Amino acid sequence: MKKLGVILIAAVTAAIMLIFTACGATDVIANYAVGSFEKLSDKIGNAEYGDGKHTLTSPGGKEKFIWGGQIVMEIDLSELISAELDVAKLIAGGFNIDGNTLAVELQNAAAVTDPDGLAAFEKNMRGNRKALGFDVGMGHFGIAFGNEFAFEWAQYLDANDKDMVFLLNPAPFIEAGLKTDILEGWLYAELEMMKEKAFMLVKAYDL
Amino acid sequence: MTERAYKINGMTCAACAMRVEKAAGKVAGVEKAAVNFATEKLTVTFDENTATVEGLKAAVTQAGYELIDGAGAKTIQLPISGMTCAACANRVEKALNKAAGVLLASVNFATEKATVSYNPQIIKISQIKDAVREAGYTALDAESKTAVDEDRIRKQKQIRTLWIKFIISAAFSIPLLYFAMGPMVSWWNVPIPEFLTPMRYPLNYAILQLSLTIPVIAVGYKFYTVGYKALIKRSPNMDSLIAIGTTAAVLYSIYSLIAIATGTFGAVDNLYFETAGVIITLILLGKSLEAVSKGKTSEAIKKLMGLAPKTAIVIKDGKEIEIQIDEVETGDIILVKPGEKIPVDGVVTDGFTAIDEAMLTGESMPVDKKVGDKVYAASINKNGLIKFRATKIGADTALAQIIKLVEDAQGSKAPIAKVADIVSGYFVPIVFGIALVAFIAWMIGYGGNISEKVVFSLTIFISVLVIACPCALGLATPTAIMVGTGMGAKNGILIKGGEALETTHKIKTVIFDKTGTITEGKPEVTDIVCADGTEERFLLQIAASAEKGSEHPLGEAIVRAAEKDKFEFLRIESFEAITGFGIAVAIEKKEILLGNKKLMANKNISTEALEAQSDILAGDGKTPMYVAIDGRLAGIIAVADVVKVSSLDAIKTLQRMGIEVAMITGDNKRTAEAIARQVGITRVLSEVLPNDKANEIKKLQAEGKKVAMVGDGINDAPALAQADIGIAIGSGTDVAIESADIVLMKSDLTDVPTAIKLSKNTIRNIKQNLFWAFGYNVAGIPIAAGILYLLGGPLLNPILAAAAMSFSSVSVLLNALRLRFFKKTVSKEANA
Repeated sequence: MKKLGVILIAAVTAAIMLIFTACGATDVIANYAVGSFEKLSDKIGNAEYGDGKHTLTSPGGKEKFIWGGQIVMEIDLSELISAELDVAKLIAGGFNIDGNTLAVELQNAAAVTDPDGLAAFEKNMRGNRKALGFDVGMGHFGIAFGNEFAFEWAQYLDANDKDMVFLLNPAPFIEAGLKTDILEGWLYAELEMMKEKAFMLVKAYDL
Repeated sequence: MTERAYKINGMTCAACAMRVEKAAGKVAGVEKAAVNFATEKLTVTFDENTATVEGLKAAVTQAGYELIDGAGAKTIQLPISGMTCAACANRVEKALNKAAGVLLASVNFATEKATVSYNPQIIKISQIKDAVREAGYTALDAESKTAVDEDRIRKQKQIRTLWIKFIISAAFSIPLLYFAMGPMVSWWNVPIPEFLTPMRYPLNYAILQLSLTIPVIAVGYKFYTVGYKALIKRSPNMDSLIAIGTTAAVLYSIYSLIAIATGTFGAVDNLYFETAGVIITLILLGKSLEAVSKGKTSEAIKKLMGLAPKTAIVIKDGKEIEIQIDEVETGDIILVKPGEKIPVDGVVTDGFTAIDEAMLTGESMPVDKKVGDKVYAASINKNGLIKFRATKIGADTALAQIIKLVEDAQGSKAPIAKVADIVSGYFVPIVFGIALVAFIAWMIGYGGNISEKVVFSLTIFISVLVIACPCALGLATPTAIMVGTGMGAKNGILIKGGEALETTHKIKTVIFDKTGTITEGKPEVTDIVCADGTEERFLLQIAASAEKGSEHPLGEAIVRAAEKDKFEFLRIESFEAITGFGIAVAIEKKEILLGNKKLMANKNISTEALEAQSDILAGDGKTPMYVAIDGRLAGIIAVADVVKVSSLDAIKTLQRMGIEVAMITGDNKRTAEAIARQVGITRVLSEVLPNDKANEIKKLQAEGKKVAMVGDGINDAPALAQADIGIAIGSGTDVAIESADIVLMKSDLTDVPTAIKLSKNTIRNIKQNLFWAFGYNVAGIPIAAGILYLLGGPLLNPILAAAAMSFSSVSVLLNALRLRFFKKTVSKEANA
């Protein structure tokens, strides 16, 4: 009976804990991501609001993260064009390009608008929770846009030398003529993404 | 020489033990004195005629210590539950040996029994049990018939519980391993629910692992209760290693879980819940397999125990009454129908049958039984209805004696086991030391941040603790001895202890007694030589009639020969025994003389015509007896003790095994050499008086040889005791059986090489087991400590360490069980 009691208590405890996991309180990534993003936004200090959308521009001014009515990463392709990228080929490949600016939008996003940037961010992250993750190796929160395009920021800005990071899947760019050996402004490197290594186009800012 | 063990009080260190040893060794008549400081026991080999217990006591007292005399001591066997490894057995043994009033305690981990010699005036059984309980284990009731059943039920329950625990544990560990390792395997896209992915929901992921680990730990709670209790008592055991290893893994994982909850998401890589869960599961699997295998090692004795029938049909006042076996009394007349088992030992009073005594002798051919023949409990009545008088019941039956003998042997320790016991006693604390040193060394030497250092060093710490569990070491010797002695019993070879089993494989010389051992021990008529005009049948009829009623063995042989051929005996008119010469008898008015050559010479009867044949017969070791009728030589009847059918096979097989074979006898040289020639023995020790047989053994031992003596009679007892191994023929006297180390239940001498071969196989098996057990640890500990990693190789995962550790125990047990396929072999040359 004593043994049965121990096993029963253990099983009940395990069950309670499992139920607990279904509760939002255990979603520490979402909880901490909001606070961390707020610090990033404050540190850059250029967040803008208009047309129901919030925009945070990279210190270099060529990349933007937009959230509100939609969740978008905007990339100025001029540096890649200098490395022989043929934009027409990208467009033909289905990419959304306006002039030299590539817009990578989170597919099927349940985007929500809110004048308060942080509240909008939280609502959009929780509404599109699948897209939000954490890269243990880099110490980054990240929003995966799909097709290996991502926007990441450091959990601890002071301790990280890559505080704001834009990641592009290099394959369609290389197919569109990009010469990675002459590319400047972007880093073409092998990174450990989740559990496997892959080559990426990376632009990182140390704030 | 007598060997006795005494408890010594007052020793505080190894130097004290040396002093006691010296003091006892100096007592006149003491051949050998050895003190075991750990058990506080003095074992003395001494000549009882020269040395006395009082003398020993005085010498030890003078040295400043106290010798406790074990006179009036009792011995009990207590089943012990809760032991998980050899270190536990050592601990119980130490606790018992320290108890006042306990003279000697020996604990066998494989049989889970403690054999305790104690002084009932100082300590009670309940106090002995208390000593076991205080050591953290449970002593069950002493062995009895019902206790044997309870023990069997308890063990079956234990096996069932272990399997259930393993199944529960595996049911949680398999998903635990899936969730923990799945996301780490790059080539396997593991389907995991979104809300449990480590990258997006690390806290959920960690809580899920903890949830799956809790039931596993609850199932394996005994590792913690026993392990930590042992640790607190400063005698850590295998459970302590598992408990500390898995606790470290779980605590660090809980720390990591808290870190995740407080925002340190990188800690998701530092979860070790699956290590703890899988280690416990694998060890439970190992324990379950171990329990099953351990049960199989004692199968032989269980089969013996299951042989005895539960009821008997007793004839009382002419009525057949079926009663419980325990109610049968000596003197009861018992009825046994065809196909039924004989319930107790007895003597046939009515009927004729054939009885299968394979349980007793291993011999499958049924033995004919008539009025006056002995029958044995548990043997099977094949075809006739018999009645017999009960002569031995309960613990006195041959079956009960065999069971006790085998049980004692299985519970005894071979000298080789002592090495393993000593090693496993020190092993666990040493392993703790190695694990700690490795942890600290890697904390200092491993590159990376503090978190990486801790994770790496902790992996090393857990792996060392888990791989080094010494259970295989504790099982290596006793399991092989259990199977070996069990197989011996199955083949009608009763080996009285581990020491006998071990010594037997070293035998270089086997000395056989002649009469009753190499030979049948019953003279038989071998040749009938007739003088001219005499018929063979007539000669035998006349001689047998003359000897009818004779108690002389040679005369009896002639009578038996006539009976065998169903001759009619003629009436004797007068009879005169002429001591030292023969007999003179009158039959049908004829004067018959039957005796040696001197008798014929005294009566002036010429033996010249048959003298040449007489010499040939004598040269062959036969005894020629002259027969004269009415003053004329009628013929010769030769009588000899014939060689057993199995003798030649046995001796040839021994010689092929490279063992020197000799024969010892009190008979004259001529007869002895004739018998030796028949069986191929070249070294013959003849005309040896019974008292000198032991001296002859000593002489051979002085040549540095390990000698086995095979005999059957009272006169062989001193030689059986003197030999390194005494082998008694089961049909022999009780004294011979008592004095022997091995008893052959059949009178088949081929069991001698079989016993030596069984011993060799068992010792080889023990060595293999020890190699495996030591090998795992010797090779496993450095690998677990990161030696390979240091040299650029891989790091041992704690889960693999647990699997290796469990496999080591199972492999040792499986290896021991191979002895169950032991088959006796006889020289093919001899058979041909």
